[in-house]
Amino acid sequence: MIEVIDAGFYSSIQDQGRMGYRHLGVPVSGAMDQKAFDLAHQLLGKTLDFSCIECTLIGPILRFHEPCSLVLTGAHMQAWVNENPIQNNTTIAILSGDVLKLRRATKGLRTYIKINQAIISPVLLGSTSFYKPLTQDAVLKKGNHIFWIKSDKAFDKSNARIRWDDSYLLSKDLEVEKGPEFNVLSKTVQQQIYQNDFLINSQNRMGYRISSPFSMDSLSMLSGAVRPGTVQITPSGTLLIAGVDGQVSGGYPRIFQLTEEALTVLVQKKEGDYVSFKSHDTLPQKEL
Amino acid sequence: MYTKQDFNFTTLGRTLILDFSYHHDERSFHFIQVLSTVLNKQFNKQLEDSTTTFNSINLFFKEDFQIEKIKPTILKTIDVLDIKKANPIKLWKLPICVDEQYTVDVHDFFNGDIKQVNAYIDRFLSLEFHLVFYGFLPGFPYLGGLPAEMAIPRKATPSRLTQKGSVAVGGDQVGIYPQDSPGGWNVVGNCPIPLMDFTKNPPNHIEPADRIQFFKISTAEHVDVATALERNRSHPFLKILYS
Repeated sequence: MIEVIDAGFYSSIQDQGRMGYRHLGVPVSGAMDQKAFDLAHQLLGKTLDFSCIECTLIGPILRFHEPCSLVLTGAHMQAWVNENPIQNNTTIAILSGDVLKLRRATKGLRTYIKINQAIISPVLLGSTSFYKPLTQDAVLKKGNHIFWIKSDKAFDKSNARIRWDDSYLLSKDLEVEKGPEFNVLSKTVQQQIYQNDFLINSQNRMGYRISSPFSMDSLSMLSGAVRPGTVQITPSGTLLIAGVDGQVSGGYPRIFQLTEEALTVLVQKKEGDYVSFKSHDTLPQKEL
Repeated sequence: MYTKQDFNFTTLGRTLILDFSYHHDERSFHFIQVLSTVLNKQFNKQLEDSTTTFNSINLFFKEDFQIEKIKPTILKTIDVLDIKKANPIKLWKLPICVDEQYTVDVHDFFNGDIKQVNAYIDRFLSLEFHLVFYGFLPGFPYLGGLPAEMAIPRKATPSRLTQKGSVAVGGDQVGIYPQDSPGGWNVVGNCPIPLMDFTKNPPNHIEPADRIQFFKISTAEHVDVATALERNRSHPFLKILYS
């Protein structure tokens, strides 16, 4: 069992997502950084359960009442087990009574805590991912107890450490494809939008708001499909990039779609960071 | 009605979008519903999900796909589409309270002219709507069937709070708010029964193309059914959706 001593800034239980319910207006939710989430699984080997704890900006303080193995992936946060500093992407053995303490993110924004045990959390529409109002809570709270299914295997050293490239945490380049309404931008803007750096005004799991100088005429259009990584532009020039909890439809012109990789770059950026858009074509081609 | 020339193909990552222009007539709507159902079956194994809006069918693929390979298949499907193969359509009668506390926006729109307000509400209650799709919020239905002359433009500045259950008009679309939310649509009444119960799978009963008509209830009846819901008690109105 895990006891939440301090919940941190915004910590929630997330899994691979709530797939297949967009037609009811239900967003996919799940881990914002699916790459870091997948890595946690690789490090711990296959487990029955896909749930992990997603931490944002300032991580939680957790006391473990039973032994297990855990890994941290995604953003680098100041992290200790008891008083000993620990690193990301490394399997760590936790003993009964140990306290895992995560504090401020030093590189990136979202960190994933994954244990090698199946966390027990209510399943709604096939997923444990917190998403209010579908789930009762949006975040973990001080005093919460997180239980897991009893198993014989407390430790798992199968994949103690793997080589991993965390450079995306520092990248500001978002690789994009043109969206269906890219042509609403004037020819000049179509060029400039690949050259400027843009400031992130605010962000949460629903999406990112980014300011741009490109105000434009209001365009009356019916709501169209939006998925995580879709970039819409409002008449005042704000760029809205949908997150995993974002609405499944939107009524502003969709000018870009972030690639899956670019989405992982974005979700590790915080308020005040800059990003830039790179066309799929202008990036160096991957070596085969 | 549509032919394959009416569809434009675009993509949004792993989402394939079929755009078409929205026609108000029933046959066109019916065509799109059948096409959407057929495509869903056709690509079933490759799809994570699919949605249909007023003017698009959106296929969410699990993996990357090549549009050049899929497009001819879809065009052929459109060519041979048999629109007689429709799912049975149901009619749902939902309670709505149109007492003054729930119709402030209509009063505002008609500058407090009670005659016009009542005429608008009476006509609204006589209409039969159809579910086009769910979107915006989990369980938020977009309903078609509001005549053009009954359209009320969206508010210039959205309200900070549109109450749960609000039946609202945005342009010529009608929706029901499943939860408290900021909203720019004009509230014309309140329906105390949520359309979905997310603890059930599937959570919905009303399907796209189904018909919806509202019947008037008093404030007292509204309170009754809301209380029954809250306390997990039975109520005749709840049997409409949850039997």
